[in-house]
Amino acid sequence: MSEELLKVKDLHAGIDGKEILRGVNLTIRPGEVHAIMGPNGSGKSTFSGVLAGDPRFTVTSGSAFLGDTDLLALSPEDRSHEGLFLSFQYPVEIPGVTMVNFMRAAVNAKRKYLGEAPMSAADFLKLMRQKRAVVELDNKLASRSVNEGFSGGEKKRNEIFQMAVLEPKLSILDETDSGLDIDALRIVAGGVNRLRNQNNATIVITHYQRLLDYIKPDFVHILYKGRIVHSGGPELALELEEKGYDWIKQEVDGE
Amino acid sequence: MKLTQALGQYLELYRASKCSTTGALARLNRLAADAMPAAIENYKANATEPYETRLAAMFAPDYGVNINRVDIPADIAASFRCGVPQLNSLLVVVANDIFHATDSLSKNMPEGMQVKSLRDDLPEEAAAYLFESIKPAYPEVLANSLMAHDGVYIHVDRGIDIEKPVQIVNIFSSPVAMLTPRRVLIVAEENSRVRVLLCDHTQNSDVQHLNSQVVQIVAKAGAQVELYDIEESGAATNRVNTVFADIHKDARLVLNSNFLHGGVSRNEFIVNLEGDGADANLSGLGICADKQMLDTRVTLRHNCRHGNSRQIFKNALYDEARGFFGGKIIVEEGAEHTDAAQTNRNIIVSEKARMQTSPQLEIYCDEVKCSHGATTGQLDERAMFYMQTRGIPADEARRMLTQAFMADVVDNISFEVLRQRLHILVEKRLSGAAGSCETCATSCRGAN
Repeated sequence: MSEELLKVKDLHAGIDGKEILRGVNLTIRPGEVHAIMGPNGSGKSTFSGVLAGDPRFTVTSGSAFLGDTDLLALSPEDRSHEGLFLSFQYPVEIPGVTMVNFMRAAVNAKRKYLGEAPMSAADFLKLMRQKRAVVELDNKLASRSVNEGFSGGEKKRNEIFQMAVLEPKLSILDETDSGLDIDALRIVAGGVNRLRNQNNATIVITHYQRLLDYIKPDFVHILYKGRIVHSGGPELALELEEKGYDWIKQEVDGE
Repeated sequence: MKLTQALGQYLELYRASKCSTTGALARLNRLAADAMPAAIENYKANATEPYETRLAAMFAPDYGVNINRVDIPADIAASFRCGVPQLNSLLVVVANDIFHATDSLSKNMPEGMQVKSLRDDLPEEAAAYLFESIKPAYPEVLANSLMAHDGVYIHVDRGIDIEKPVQIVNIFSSPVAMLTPRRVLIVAEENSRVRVLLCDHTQNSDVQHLNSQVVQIVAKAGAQVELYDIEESGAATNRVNTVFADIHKDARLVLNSNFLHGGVSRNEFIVNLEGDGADANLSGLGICADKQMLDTRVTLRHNCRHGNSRQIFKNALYDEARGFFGGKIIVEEGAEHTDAAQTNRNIIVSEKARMQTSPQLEIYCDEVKCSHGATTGQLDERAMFYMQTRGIPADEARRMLTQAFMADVVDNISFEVLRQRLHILVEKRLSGAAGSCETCATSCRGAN
């Protein structure tokens, strides 16, 4: 068993032949929270998409291991079963598929993968009730179509609710703070903090320091032009908030 | 093979054989025989059809016709009794082309209603309706009329509201290839209401079968007729189905047609809104896989003021399946305040599946509201990925999305027991159930 929960080595990936990630290296250990920051277009969402298996992106070289598991060799569903979770920046609306059917399918697919029998209806409802409480998600959303007609805050809370149900080893929160007012932000961040423990880890992708006031990172990385160009502690985020990205750009582009 | 030969073989058969029919049906046969040659010529001059379901090809095989009215063993017919208690229907079994009343029908016939064989004595008015189907534009209806020797007649008296649905179970059972002419005539008198459910099943799923069906609906002023149709037959069963509906003043038609399994199925709906305030709600779904073909045509004619029509047809095509949708709305001169809308949406799941759609509006009147929309595409890839990241395997995600795509057609059904059952049938079908009688959730047989 590796001490490293996630190990990404020299990851190159792109879309339609255009390279976006140009050699990302990142190691995450259990219990850690890593923030990835960076200006628009630096490759943050591509990085999360590639780890989750988004078919739009093509990996050209490098590796990504979750524990001993080669993530890049797995389908998106198996990456989920192995313990990876991506909270979407823009959660997808699925008209006609109710939240409850969606979650039942997700829970039972994982159980099947682990060789367990499907969950009983009573246990499933109990699980939903418990996990909804983590992000104060309204019960009435259960019978609605996935994300359809949800407010911005409800969509993000719904993401964290799903994370709570699936209990991933590694969660990637892609701009979870975008579109959230301060109350929703507090609830979402509170949910994430409650789900943290010594065995799991979190990657927080964000533009702003604001979210990091609530979800305290152990490490902050700056992604720029497809590479992590700077890493540091929580103070790096504060520095960025104060000085912006220009100094980073100068540092990199000036080389 | 040319249509002349394809249909001509049945005309020869009719002329050479001693016909078993009497009364209205005999006259119908004769009228069809007389009209056939001109109809074939007319068709050849005008037809533009997708090749898959050309009438010539569909009628070309040398099918047997049940001239001697050989009945199938009664136990087979009996085994198809509907086992779904909630449906509580008035059940008719049409075994090949022969009408069988059941106990549920004879013991429970409501006041003011008749459900009987077209071989029984028919009122002159009913016979006249049958003869109205003889039109040169529909040689397939003539072929049916030529050979029809039985069928179902449903009549509801004025002001009578029949709560129990009539269920007509069509069964094909024959060791040899066969054409079965099936007829249904529904006459709803003023301010009456009736619901009819038609299901198609196949006993010998490897034997070639052509189900030639003509349904006629007359909804008089203020009446409401609902016709639901579930096709779940064998891959060797083809179907040429024509539905005529005349909807009079303030009357309402609900027509819902579902293709779950079969071979080549061609369905034509010809709906005339004849009286002011007439209303038609047409819907359908098709789940086509393998080499199945579903051809749906609608001609919706607004010939009244304040007429209202809604159409929604959805298809999902897998493997090498093909679909065709031809939807025509005609708004006649003087049909002011018409409100007509038509939607056709299709999902192509496999690379080799094909869909052709052709919506048409012909408007000869001002002051009308008409809309039509047709889309053909693939499942939402973002939704697929989102579901997969939650651990839902691609196949299941695809099934759930297809089911969701169909959901509004099913939800649109106000007949609750059927709506629930159809949700299950669609789910089962998408889960890969073969759609044979053994897996069919309608439980038409075996559950007693």
